[in-house]
Formats: sequence, C-alpha cells, structure tokens
Amino acid sequence: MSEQGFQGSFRQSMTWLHTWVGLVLSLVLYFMFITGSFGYFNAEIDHWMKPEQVRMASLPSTQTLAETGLHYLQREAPDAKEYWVTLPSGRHSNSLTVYAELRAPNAAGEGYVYQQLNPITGELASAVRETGGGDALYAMHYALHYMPYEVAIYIVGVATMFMFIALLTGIVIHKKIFVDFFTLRFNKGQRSWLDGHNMSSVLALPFLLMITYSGLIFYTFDYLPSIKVLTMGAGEEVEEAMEAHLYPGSDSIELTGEKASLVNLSAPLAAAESRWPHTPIHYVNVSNPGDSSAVLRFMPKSSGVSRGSEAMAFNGVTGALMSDPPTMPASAVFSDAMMALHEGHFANIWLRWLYFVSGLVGAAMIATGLVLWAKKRRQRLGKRGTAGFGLVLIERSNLGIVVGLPLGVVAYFWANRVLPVDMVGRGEWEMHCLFLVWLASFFHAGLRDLACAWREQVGLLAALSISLPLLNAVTTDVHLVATLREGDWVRAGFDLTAIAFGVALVAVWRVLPGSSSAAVSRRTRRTLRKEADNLAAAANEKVNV
Amino acid sequence: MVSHARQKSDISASYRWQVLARVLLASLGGFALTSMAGAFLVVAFEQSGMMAETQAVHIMTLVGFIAWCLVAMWVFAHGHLLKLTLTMFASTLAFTGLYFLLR
Repeated sequence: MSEQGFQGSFRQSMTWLHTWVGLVLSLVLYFMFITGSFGYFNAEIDHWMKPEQVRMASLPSTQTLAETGLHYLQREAPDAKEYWVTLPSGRHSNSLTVYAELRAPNAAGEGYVYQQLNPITGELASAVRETGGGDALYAMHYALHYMPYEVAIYIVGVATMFMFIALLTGIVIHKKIFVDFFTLRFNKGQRSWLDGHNMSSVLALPFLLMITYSGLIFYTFDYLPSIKVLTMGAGEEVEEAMEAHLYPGSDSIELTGEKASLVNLSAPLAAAESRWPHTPIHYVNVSNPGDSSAVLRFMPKSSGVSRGSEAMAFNGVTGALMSDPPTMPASAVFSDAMMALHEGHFANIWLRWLYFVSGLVGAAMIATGLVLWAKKRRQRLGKRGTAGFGLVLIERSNLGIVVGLPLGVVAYFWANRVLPVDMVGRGEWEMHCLFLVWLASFFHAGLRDLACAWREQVGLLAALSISLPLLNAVTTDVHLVATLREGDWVRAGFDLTAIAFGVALVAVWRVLPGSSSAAVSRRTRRTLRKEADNLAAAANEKVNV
Repeated sequence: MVSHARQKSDISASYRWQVLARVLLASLGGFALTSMAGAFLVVAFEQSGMMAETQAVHIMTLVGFIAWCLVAMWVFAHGHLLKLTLTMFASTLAFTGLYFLLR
C-alpha cells in the first residue's frame, strides 16, 4: 500500500489532480487564454475598432514629438513624480502616449494621467469613436472585468497556479509524449477529443509553461510575499530595497523644492541619437519634473528580450550627462526576460502570429479537456444510466464556455460597428455586449437540445465572423477593398482573419453530430444495425427450428 | 456493476473529506512549507555570504512557485493522509527551527 497514492497508483493520483485543477477554474483559464491571445494584436485590433483613425503619413521629428508630449504633461500634470512620453513607432505608429505619475491624486481621484495624443497636433486623439478597443479586451486577461483590480489579480493568480499544476501533472501522466505529437484520429468520438487535447498541449507545451510561469512573475511579491516578509520584514524601506534590486538606478531622487525649467531637448537628444544610431529613441522620461533635481532620460526601443532598455540620463536642468545606471543583478535579468517573453513586445509580425496561435491552442487544450471530461462521465454511465445534475450542468456549461466566449468576443467587435457612434458610455457598452452575449449562450445551451445548441452556436459564430467584414463595409469606409487597395494591412488583416476564422468554423460545424454530413454516417450506421438485427433474427429462427 | 460501485464510492462523504483535506494541505500547508523553506534558504545564503539578501529573496520566491506546485503534487501522490500531514507539519517545523537558529 505504501506506493499507493490518493487515487490508486501514482499515475492515477496525478491524473485525478490533473483533472481537478484543470476543471475547477477552467472558466477563468479559458477566458484568460482567449482574451490574452487577442492581446498580442491589441494595437491592430485597436486600429480596426477606430475606423476614423487616419494613418500618419509623415511624423514630425523626434524632438518635436518629445516636446509635444512633455508640454502636454507640463500643462495637465504640473505636480508629478515622473513623466513618460512614448513616441510613435512600429505597431503604435499612430499615437503619442503620455503618462504622468502624480504626487497626489487628482480631482478624479486618480494617481496618474494617461493619454493618447495626436502626434501632429498634440491634442487629445478624440476624433475617433469611444471604444475599449484592443486594450480593454487584452487587459481582461489579468484584471478581469466588473470587479476591483486587487480582487481580480488574486483570482487570476490562483487560476494560474492551477494551470501550472495541470501542466506539470499533465507531463507526468503522459505515456508517449512524442507519439502524441503526430496523433490525431478524427471521428473516433472520445478518442478524437483525447487526441486533440494531447496534441494541443504537447505542441504548445513550451509556450504554455512559459506563459503560465511568467504570468506568476508579474505579481511575484503579491502572490508569494511570505519569504520577503519573513526575512526582510514589511514596510516602505523593504519595498524600496526590492525596487532598487529589480530596477537598479530607478530609486527616487530627493526633491530640492527649487523650481527650474527643463533643459532644451536638442543637445541631450543629439547625444542619445549618436549613441544608438540604428535604433530610434522610443521613450522620454523625466523624474522630478519642474524641480532643480530633475533628471531627463532617453531610451531606445529594446532590441532584445527585455522589458526595460538601456537609458542615457542627463541633468534635467543643465543637460550634463550623468553616469549610467548599475547593471541588473541576475535574478532581475531573469524575471525581466520572462515578463518580456510573456508580453512579446519584441516579436515581429510572424512571431506575433505564432504567439497568437499558441495562445489559441492553449485555449483549445482547455476546451478539449472540458469536453473530454464530460464524454468520459457519459461513457461511464453507460447507455441506461441517467446523468446526474452535475454532469448535465457541466455538459451544458461547456458549450457556454467553449463557444459562448468567442461569441461574446465577436459580439464585442459587432457592437463596435453597430452601437451609435456618439453614444454615452459607448466603450463600456461594447463590453456589456460581450458579457450579455456570453450569458445568453449559457441560457441557450441550458434550454435547447444540446446537440442542436452546439450546432446553432458554432453556426452563429461562423456567420457572425464571416459577415464581420461585410458589416464593416456597410458601416465604415475602411472596408476590405479600400484597405487592400491602400495597403492598410492592419485593417485588411483583421477582416481577412475574421473570414478565415469563420470558414474554419464552418468546417467544424459540418462535422458536429447532427449536421448533414454526420447525419449520413448515422444513416449508414442505422442501416447496418438493421441488417445485423435481421441476421440475428434469422439466426434465432434457425436455432429455434 | 463495477462502474456502479465506483460511482457510489465517488460521492461518499469520506471521499469528499479526503479531497477537502488534501486541497487545504496542498494550498495552506504547501504555502507554509514553501515559505519557511524559502526563508531558511534565504537566511542560509545570506549568512554564508553567497548572495545579497534581496537577490536571495527574489530567487527563492521565483523558485517558490515551482516548489509550491511540486508540494501540491506530492500531497496528492501520497496515500496515507495522516502520515502525510505529520510529515508536512514536521518538515515545516524543521525549516522554521533552522530559520530561527540561523537568523
């Protein structure tokens, strides 16, 4: 008995644990994988969801852009600890992002100012419709929705730990990890679902391990504060000491209280540009703006797998070059690289697609696992057993989870085009549409015959997805023909992806039980069964005679 | 018949208590064990002069996530609940003792 585990052998026990941690928070995990995957295209989705946004043909010089951003902040946030100006580049070529960390909360009760500016006029980029865009969709994968951030990150944290355990146990219980790489048997019922589950998880395993573990690292000391508290204690100094370890050189500088205006940017900027001749300056940062202790920093876009980047620091008043910050200690480099891998800001378009697909494969792994569990339970019941309330509930909610959420996301895109452009609270209503449609999917799954409900929801998802470019063409002037002709591959890519998704879903719809092609095979089966019955009856007669 | 018997044992009260006990052991017990082992190792690294305190704390917390998961797996791999509980309790206590001894 000594080598026996909780549920029989070691493998059986680990299988039990794999199933348990996989199922309990599967709703949250699936939600995180779907919304997080869209996050890899947040800027692209944003561009599609703001059809009024004009692509900037030519941008002002780096210095003008930096000054535009800083002037806005000096006007709107005179009393701030830090200014950050992110210059337009690459995927974010349309906006100049400004951010200020305030010393005291402003009238709105917020400790920061954050805006997207029109890079040319320096005014708020408000000529576009109000929308949550790609960012609101992506932020939900860690901040969820309809709840305080502090609560959400802990729910997400527990779900992430469950995911991590599910991955580790999944590896342990796997017999033939390499064979499953190439195994996918269609139309074999439960076996096909298991093949699908195995293939999706094995294919994406490196990605899944990385994304899960690095997800924890974003909130290292929120999720596991105990080791720090036990050894270093708690309080302001401890936080500062850890901050200095993780981000050396970022410790706050004492204010002098003397007012001083910022140095002219041209000389420091020229020095920075000559240091990095091949990478354009991406961030401009001012610490203690308006004070005589101000520090001005320029940073190029990071070229490696790192979130931060090298910086060149200048005295913010005299413009004198300051010494470089100390290098990061090894553990800080490691966690920084893990978070950079998670976010994938460094990824070019092809790697970005790989990220996106890997994320969706992760979602598929969760979905197939859910369906597999219900199928197994059904099978164990046998033909005559009646399913208990729990099994029925899970069978039905599986549809609401697996297909309902993508339906909600498509509804979010539909809402962006259908809701009146000048509607009050428009961005929030787009989000309500997502959740209302998702909720409706659960009700539909609960009330309808289950096989019919699957077919109808997958069919609806395919239809809404394929027709998204049509809706776009009807409601805006950035339709597929125009964007293709113009070479606006971001918007055209969105429309084309929607069509591709829809077509793939039609293929799924066709093989779902009860649809026309599956009906053929059922008819064949029925004929065969009838023949077998006839043979048996004939045999019986012979015996009786 | 076999499947019927299995169904029955699946929902027995003792099975549910086992699940609850093990979930609590894996989460709270795992947290305590990971924290104390991590804290001991931080103090040990720091005392031996191998690492700065902040560096050791950061590394041990990063490793702690993995350790916690492995402890959780161990909780479910172990057959005997009472023996498991005692072993976890004893090892947490041992790390706590070592931690106070070195500090």
